[in-house]
Formats: sequence, C-alpha cells, structure tokens
Amino acid sequence: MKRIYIALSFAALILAAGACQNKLDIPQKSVLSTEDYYTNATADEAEALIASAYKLYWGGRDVTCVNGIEKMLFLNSLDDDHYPGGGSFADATYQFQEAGNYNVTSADTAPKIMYKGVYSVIYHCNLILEKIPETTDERINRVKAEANFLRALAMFDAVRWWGTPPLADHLLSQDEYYQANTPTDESIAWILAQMKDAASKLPAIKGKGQQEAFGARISKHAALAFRGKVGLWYGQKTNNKQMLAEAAADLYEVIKSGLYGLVEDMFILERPMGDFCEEYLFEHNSADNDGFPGNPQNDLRHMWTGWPDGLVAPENIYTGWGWNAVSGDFGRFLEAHEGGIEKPRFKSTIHTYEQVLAMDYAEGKTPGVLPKGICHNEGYFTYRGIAFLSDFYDIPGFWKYSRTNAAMLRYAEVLLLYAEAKFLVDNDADGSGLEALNEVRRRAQIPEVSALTYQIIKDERRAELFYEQERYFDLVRWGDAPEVLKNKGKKLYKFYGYKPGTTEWNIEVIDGTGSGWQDKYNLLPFPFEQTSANPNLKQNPGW
Amino acid sequence: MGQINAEYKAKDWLTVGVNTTIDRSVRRALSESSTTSDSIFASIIISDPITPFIYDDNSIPARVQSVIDGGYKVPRDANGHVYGVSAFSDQSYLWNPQVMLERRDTETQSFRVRGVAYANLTPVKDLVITSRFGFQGGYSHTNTYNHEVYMTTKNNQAMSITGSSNDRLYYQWENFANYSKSFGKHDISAMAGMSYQQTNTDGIRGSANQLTSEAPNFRYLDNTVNTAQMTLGGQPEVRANMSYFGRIGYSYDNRYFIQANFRADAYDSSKLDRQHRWGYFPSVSAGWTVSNEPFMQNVKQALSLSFLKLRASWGVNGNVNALGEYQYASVLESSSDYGNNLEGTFLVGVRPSKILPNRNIRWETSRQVDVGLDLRMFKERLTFSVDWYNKDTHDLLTRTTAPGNTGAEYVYVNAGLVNNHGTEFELGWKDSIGDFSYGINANLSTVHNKVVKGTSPDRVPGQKIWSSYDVTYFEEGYPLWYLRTFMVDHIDQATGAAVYKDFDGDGAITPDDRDIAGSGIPDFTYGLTLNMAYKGFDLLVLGAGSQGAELLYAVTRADALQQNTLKSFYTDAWQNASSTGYKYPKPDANDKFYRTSNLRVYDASFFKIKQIQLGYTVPRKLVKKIALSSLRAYVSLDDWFTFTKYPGLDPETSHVGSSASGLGVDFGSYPISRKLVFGVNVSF
Repeated sequence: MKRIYIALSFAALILAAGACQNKLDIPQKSVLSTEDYYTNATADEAEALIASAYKLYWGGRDVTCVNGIEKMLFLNSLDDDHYPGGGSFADATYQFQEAGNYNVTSADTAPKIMYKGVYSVIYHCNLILEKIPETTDERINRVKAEANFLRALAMFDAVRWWGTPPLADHLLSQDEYYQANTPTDESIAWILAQMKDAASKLPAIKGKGQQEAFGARISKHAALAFRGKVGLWYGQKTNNKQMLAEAAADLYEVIKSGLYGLVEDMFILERPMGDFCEEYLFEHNSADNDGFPGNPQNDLRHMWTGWPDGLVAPENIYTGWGWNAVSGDFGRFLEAHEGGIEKPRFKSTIHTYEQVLAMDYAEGKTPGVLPKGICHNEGYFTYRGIAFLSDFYDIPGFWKYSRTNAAMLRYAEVLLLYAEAKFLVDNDADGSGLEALNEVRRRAQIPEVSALTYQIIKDERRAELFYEQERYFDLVRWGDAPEVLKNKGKKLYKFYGYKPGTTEWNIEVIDGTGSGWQDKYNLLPFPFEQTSANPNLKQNPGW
Repeated sequence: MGQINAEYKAKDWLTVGVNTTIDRSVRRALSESSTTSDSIFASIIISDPITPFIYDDNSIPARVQSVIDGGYKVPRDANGHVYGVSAFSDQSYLWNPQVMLERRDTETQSFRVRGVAYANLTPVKDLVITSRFGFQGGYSHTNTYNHEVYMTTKNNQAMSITGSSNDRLYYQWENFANYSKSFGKHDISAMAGMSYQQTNTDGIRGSANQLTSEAPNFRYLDNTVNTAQMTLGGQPEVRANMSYFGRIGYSYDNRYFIQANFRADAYDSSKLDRQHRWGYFPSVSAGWTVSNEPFMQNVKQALSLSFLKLRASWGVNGNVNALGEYQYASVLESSSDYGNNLEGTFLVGVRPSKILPNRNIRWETSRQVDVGLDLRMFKERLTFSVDWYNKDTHDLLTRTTAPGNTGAEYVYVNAGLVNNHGTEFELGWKDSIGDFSYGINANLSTVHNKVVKGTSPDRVPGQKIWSSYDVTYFEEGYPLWYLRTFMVDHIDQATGAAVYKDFDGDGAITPDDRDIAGSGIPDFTYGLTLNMAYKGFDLLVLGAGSQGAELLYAVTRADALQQNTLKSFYTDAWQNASSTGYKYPKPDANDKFYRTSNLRVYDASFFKIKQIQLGYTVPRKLVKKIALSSLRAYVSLDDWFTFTKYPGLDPETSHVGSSASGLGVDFGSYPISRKLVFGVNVSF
C-alpha cells in the first residue's frame, strides 16, 4: 500500500504545481506605471517629462525628432535655395533626391518621421496636461504651460505640411484612435488659443542677453513670437486682416520688450560662440551632459550638412555628407542682393569657390575639388551649418557631435515677420515695419530701404533665413511657387573646380528626371502608412 | 566536458536516475556580423587593391605621416611597420582588415552544468508515473580590451575596456502519467501531465576608458582610474511558461491506430496579457498498417513487401515567438537618451513608450493536415516514405503602424493568413555483400509558400538596402517576403545605360515600376547520404542542396565607388558602343534604380557536400587489452565542396540578420568555413 500513498502524494504535488499559474505574472522591470507617475508627479518629475518633450520636438536635430535632420533636408530640397546634395545624384534617393526632383511620394521618409514625431509630442504633452492633477506648484504649472505651447507648435508644423491633419487636442480613447481630418480653420484657431494661453502663463527671460540663465525652454515672448508667426502664415494665406493685426500685435510685444537683439557678428550663428546669444528666442542646448553619447545617433546635423567629400577641406573643417547644398540660383541672388560676396551675410551664409580656396589650408594640402567632382554644386558652398572640427566634442570614432546649440527662432525672423504683418495690415502706416526690416539690413551691413514693397520683404526673408526651412512654405503661401519652382530638378549640376589652366568654374549640366512644380505640392502628402493604418484619414488632393 | 550518469532501481515499483553533463569553454571571437560596415570579412572584401598592406618606412603617404606627426597612435604590425590606410577610408567605414582583427582583444569563458533527475513509479500495473526535473545552469564572463587606434579622423577608436558577467539558470519540471493496457487485440493508452519551465538570468557589465596602466596584465576593470568615464549595467530577469498535455490512443490488432492529443500552453506576462495567455492546441492522427491485413499476406509475398502503412493527421500549433517583450502594454520609459539639458543641469527624461497598447493580442496558430505513406520492401532493404502537408498560419503576430494621431508608432495585431504546402519524399536502400555493407538515402522536400491574406491593406515593406529602396515585401498573393525590384528591360547599346520597364506607363521610373524578382524561399531542398563499411573502415558522404531560391546581392554599397566589389560587375559590364555579350549596364553611381534591380538578383541554388568522413574502428579484441570497450578514429572534410552559380560568398548563409524579412538579401554574412576534422571516439 505504501506505493499507493507515494503515488497519491505525487499526484498532490502535480496539482500543487498546477496551481502555480501566478508564477507567470512577472511585472516588467525598469519601466514606470503611467498612472502613478503622473498622478503623483513632483516638480522634478514633471520637469523630467517636459525635458523629454523638448527632446522629441527639437532634439538637437536628432534624426527622428520633429525638427530633425530629415525634416530640414527634405524641406530644403523642395525650395529654390537648395539642391538635395549628398554623395551622388542617387544618394538617399527616397529621402531627398526625389524631393529635389519634385517626385515626392507618400512613402517618403520625411513625412513619415514628421507625422509620427508631431503626434508623439502632442500625445506626450496631452499626458502632462491631463494626467498631472491641478496644482499650485509654480514649477509644475510652468511645465504645463510649456506642454500646452509645445503641442500647439507641433500642430502648427502638422498644419503647414498637410493642411488638415487630425487635431488630437486631448488623450484619445480607444474608439477615437482612427480620427478623421480636421479643417485647417479649426486647427489654427485652436493653435492660436493654446499659444495665447501659454504666453500668459510662461515667464519672460530676466533681461536682454539672459538666455543662458533662463535655459533652453520656451519663454513668454518666444511663445508670442511663434503665435505671431502662425497668425501671419495663416492670415496672409486667407487674407484675414484681423488675424494679421493680432499677429503684428504679438510680434510688436516681443520687439517692444527690449529683451532681444541682433548679434553683430553673423559668423557666430550656428556656431558654439552663438549659444544663448541675445538673438535666439528658442534653442536646443547641446551641452556636454545633454545625454550624448547615450544615444549615439543624436545630433549629427553637422555631419549631414558638412561639406561633401569631393571637396578638399581646410584643416579646421570636417568633411561630412554634403547635404543642404546651396543652389547656384541662391548664390547669384545673394551676391546681387547683398551687393558683393564679401558682405558679412553672404560670407557667413555661403562661400564661393574662391572664398573656400582662400581658407586656411595646411602646407602640403592642395585646395580644390577631387577629380570625381561634386554633385549638386555650381561653385557655391554652404558656410552656415558646416562642420568645424573645433566645434565638435572631442570624441574618437566616425560619429561626431557638435556643441552648437540648435536655434529654432531668431530675432531676425521676428523682425521680418513683423515687417510683413505691418505691410499687410495697413501698408505699414506708422513705419515701424520698415524700421524692423532696416534693423536686419543694418546688421547685414547693406543699405537701408526707404519704403516697404512686398518684393523687398520677400527678398529680405530669402537672404536672411537660408538655414531655417522657411522658403518652401513662403513660396507656397505667397503663390510664387508655380513660377519659381517650375523647372526644379530638370537640370542637375556637377562642379569640378576650375577648367584646366583657367579660373573659370567648370560646371557640368546634366538633364535630370525632375518634374518641377505641380499644384498638389501646395500641401504635402500624408504618409501612405498612415492613410492605410487609418481609413478615416483622407489623402490630400493629387497625392 | 564531462558526464555523470546513474540509474537505481530502489524498489521493483520505483526507479530513480540522474544524468549530468558539465562543460567549460574559452572562446575568442571576431565580429561576424551580417552587414559590411562592421564585419571583418566585409572589410576584406571591400578593401581596395591599391592600398599596401603595410608601408615601407620611407613610403608612408603624407596624409598618414601627418596623423603620426599629430601624435596619434597609428596601427602598426609587430615589427613597427604602419598598416596601410586606404585613401578612400575617409568616405566610408573602411578599415584595414588586419586592424579590424587586432583592434580588439576579447575572451569569453563559460561554464555550464546540464542535467536531469527523474523518478519512475509504477503504483499499479500498467500505470507509470514519471517526474522529471531538468536543469541547466552556468555563467559566462567576457573581458574585452579595445586598443587605441587612429587611422583617420573618421576611423579611430580610443582605448576602452569592458567586462561582463552573466548567469543563467534554467529548469524544467515535468510530471506525467502513462497508462497502457491490452485486451486481446485492443490496445489502449492514455497520458496526462504538465510541465513548468523557468529561466532566471542576471548579469552585470561595466566599461571604462582609463586605466592606471595599459600593460597587458593591467587590462582589467580593477585598474580603472577614478576620473575614467565609466558605465555600469545589469538587470535580473525571470521568464517562465507552463503547459498541460494529454493523449489517448487506441489501436486494434496492430492494423488500425487512432490517437488524440491536446495541450494547453501559457507564457508569462512578458508575452501576452493575462486574459489571452493560454493557447489550446488539439490534434488527432490515424494510421492503417495495410501490410498487417490478412488479405495482404499473399500480395506481400508476391511483391517482396514487408511493411505498408498509411497515415493522416490534423493538428493545431501555436506560436508567440514573433512577439517582443511586454508589447501589449504602454508604459513610461526613463532614460538619459530622452533627457535634455534645459537649464544647466541634465534632466533624465521620462516618456511613454511608442507602442499603442493592444491587450487583445493572442497566440498565432497554424493548422496543419498531413497525409503520408511508409513502405518497406525487399527484406527491409528498401525504405520509402512520402508525406504531403498543408499548413495555414492564421492571425500572424505582426507589428504594424499605429494611427499616428494616437501618439504611438506601432501596434501588435493578429492578422493575415500564410499558406505553406509541400511534399516530402524519402528513399533509402541498404544492403551488405560479405563484409561490405552500404546504405544510400535520399530525400527531397518541396515548399510552396504564399501570403493568402495580407496583414495590412497594402504591401508591407521589409528590408531596405543601404540608403536605397525597400527590396522585400509582404503582400497578398505573393511568397513570404518576396524580392521586389526594378526590372531592366534592356541596356542601351549606344550609352550603356540600363533602361527600366515602365509598368504604369507614366513616362517616368518610380517606385511603382517594380515587380517580383524572386524569393529567398527555395522551390525544393534535397539531401543525399551515402554509407559504406568494410572490415572496420567506414565512409560517410553527406550532401545537401537547395533549388530555386533567389538572392539580391547587396554586399557592397553601389554608391560607394571606391570600395572593392565583384570583378564581374566590371568585366561583364557594357564598355563601349561596340561591346557585345555584356550582362550589366555601364557602372554608374548615379543610377538610383540599378542597385535594387533584377540584375542584382541571382539564382542562389546550390549543392554542397557537407561531409566526407572516413573512419576506422579498431577491432574489439585489440581494444579490450587496453581496457576500452571501443575505439574509432576518423578524418572528415566538412563543408568542403559547393556547387553553385551564385557569385557572392555563400548562398546558404547569406541573408540579413535573423528576421524573416531579410531572407533573400545578401548583406555579406559570414560564410560557413571549410573544415578538416580529425577525431577519435573512445568508450570505456
């Protein structure tokens, strides 16, 4: 009988083992519970949330952030100031070359990254706004105001790209996942309202030039300036005088505050010497301890926009991948507009081939172009945004990171936005728009103008904002795009330095496969992956 | 490596036993990654032939000399000669292969114990209860030292040291009872049981970039300096799963067989939500041994037939391996990667994960039908079997794009239907003539694979090559992850440019002008085994082949012209307007379609002689004298001969990583090496 008892106790053991199903309940490690974290967030924890929201938005040009390199190079490729660039006419075809050719498809990389990036910022900010309980803690309320502003700013990006992206103004419940398009009017009204609310709650910087003490956060006047930018963009597009007047008032409040100014030396822009200068209203702080090299692909902007490897670079310059190439059209425009290539705005923005050759080369190094030539080049080279070795963190290896803060809104743009708004509202009746525009011209050391015309405003924007991805949106809203961009991508240019024995630029002109402007480009395509994931999202006309 | 085995019959109704294996290993490895940017093999392939391996001391180019003059530690061989630095290395990730080899010293030591302890009880006749406890445990330690090496401003590394220690303990506990009983011509059997498996892992790792001394015997984490940049990491993990299973079987007179199985499986909460964790998988099978029928006895004699059986089965299987961990839930992640320096101090960021929670995901299931036949003839010398199967995999666990407006990027869903069907044949013959015995076996399996229902309304892209187009897609009506490329219509005789088919007729070549160019899945695979033995000598020849798969050659970057590539890409290319017999257009870095065109897709069929082994067994009489029970010595050529038209390295291993979507794309995986093996088998 003993064996029966043993067998029975055995069976009992098996049953006991069967009851151990809860051994399968293994909580995930190194993650935080969403509900608890927000509900009990301290001021420090709230700041950790907004720190990551800023990173999602700006991220020092991290590839995947909203204002990342993909967006920058894609938008540049679409305008008349740039060629795509890169190592060849086929380099990163789907990302940038076909944008330069006006052969964009809804499967292109940049719209995909933009769409996801914009909504991850909005979602993140919605979590902060809805899940952190009401409080009287000043630091937490500042975080909330920043979150409200950032989601509005992200939404503005989305509206400029797609016109009618869904407005996710609250945390979506499961039955709202598949949102339909939101009319542009509705989104713009929402954006203006959120920015107004944020501006009323955000602190201002303590004084002129006090950017560094304030930090890389959004301030009251930066929020107002962006609100003015939104109002001008949509007010001009829809000829809404009231919206334009409000934009002018917002921008004027920034100017009148006296907290911002133009730096004298344009060469410090987009260099570490310009970090937290009085001209920047909003920037990402690239600091020694900003998380790099935890994420090794952070902030490669200067590797992308550095000079192409077909150019023998001076000692202090690191050759990059040659994106963000400058078009011949822009080079000629800027020379004429500034009245010469030695003017500071010309030289700090782009260089001619001669200006490159005159740079500081080590003995034994022959300046010039390698025999393979440089694609997408007509003898002009970008200067702002190239890779100075001294600007990099001192780290070994292939990847280099710049210490340069990434500026997102400069006072120069505020002045030009104001001039345009005033011009549109009442033809600049009090002359303050003209004065704002002339302030920009004085800094560029070019003669002042005596009255505003739309062409003067347009040209000044083009000359000043080369590095800021405004040109494509400007051409579209002004209605100038069909004419200016009609031949985009139809000719390709390759530069070989001088023709042998001369100092004449040797430029090869090749027939391209570009299609030039088509009206569907008034709006960019929603990513195909999104229209197929969300059946309620209607694609823009023509795409 | 050692083994300890023991079995003990404690009572006539109780047997206990234990098997234990111990092994210890030391390993030094190179990077064998499957992409050309960081594998040593790739650096050998793409190195240009005009860079010398080492420089004479008086022929160091100025660009290298300036690096030396700058005080950098350039890589040198044992005699102090500087290794060649390619003039093109600044534009790529190109290192000298010898530097790739020498820049890192790494060693992994591991120790493992595996074993099983069991008890069999027979409380009543015909019932056996088994409890089995299996375990596997051990540790591995890795120490790595990266030398300071500076080739160019882009290809260089600082000194660093890393160490890691990993422990793993796995155990499995199974309990089951078997009952079998015969009544006359009826046999019944039943089995029921459960099993539980758990894996505990833990590890720590550390790295630093400064040591008190860089002498070889100081290259340990103990000697790091306080000012060094250090990293630390490690986290314990537990994974578990459990199952219940049962089976009942009935057979009549050794002629009719029927069996039903059922099992239920569950994984821990890292895979599926509690509500959906259990998967239930039934199956049934039936067999008819025709050769045991009375009416067959005459037929059997007439045909020299000894055995004939027909089989059929239907069953359901489940799979959750496609799932990453905790993919059904959204959580907050905290990391310095999301951090930011807003006001002079660094804030570690916190943000939601990019997953749209979907607690409804469940097991993906396959339903398979199998019909087969086994046959033995001519005194068991001839064996033959054939099987036909049809398998439908439903509810594939797929990661798909989440609607972006939710703020999430992707969501796991169960979607789609993939069908696989095929036939498998096996044919064998064995015989002996005097002292000479031989055997020959052949097998062949056909595979037909098709996506019957897609996981999303459109084709889903899989693998992208370099900075170009996606080349594999998952799409309804096509094989799994088939190759989709541009199609070269012809090569312009005058210019040498490739002219592509414009399928949609819009006058421009766009991503819409692509079509299926093949699939990484073969039409059939086959094998051949040959055995021979004569007076203590034995010979084994193993062959294996695959027919009908295609591979897209993507080892070298078509846009990096300075890198070395296959010779035939140039010699078989159009040269001038009077060229004839060329296969490829003129080499043109600006042709953005060519690198993802059908001309880069090759037939990857191959046949390999996997092994030729010759052995000799010393006669028992002799080995007994030295107290051995057997002694066999052998020599073997492994993976020595390959027959293929594929121009790349190894058609068997070439695909990207381990994901199914990389099937059919050759990114330069490490090939299987030829091996010459000498061995001795000894039993005591």
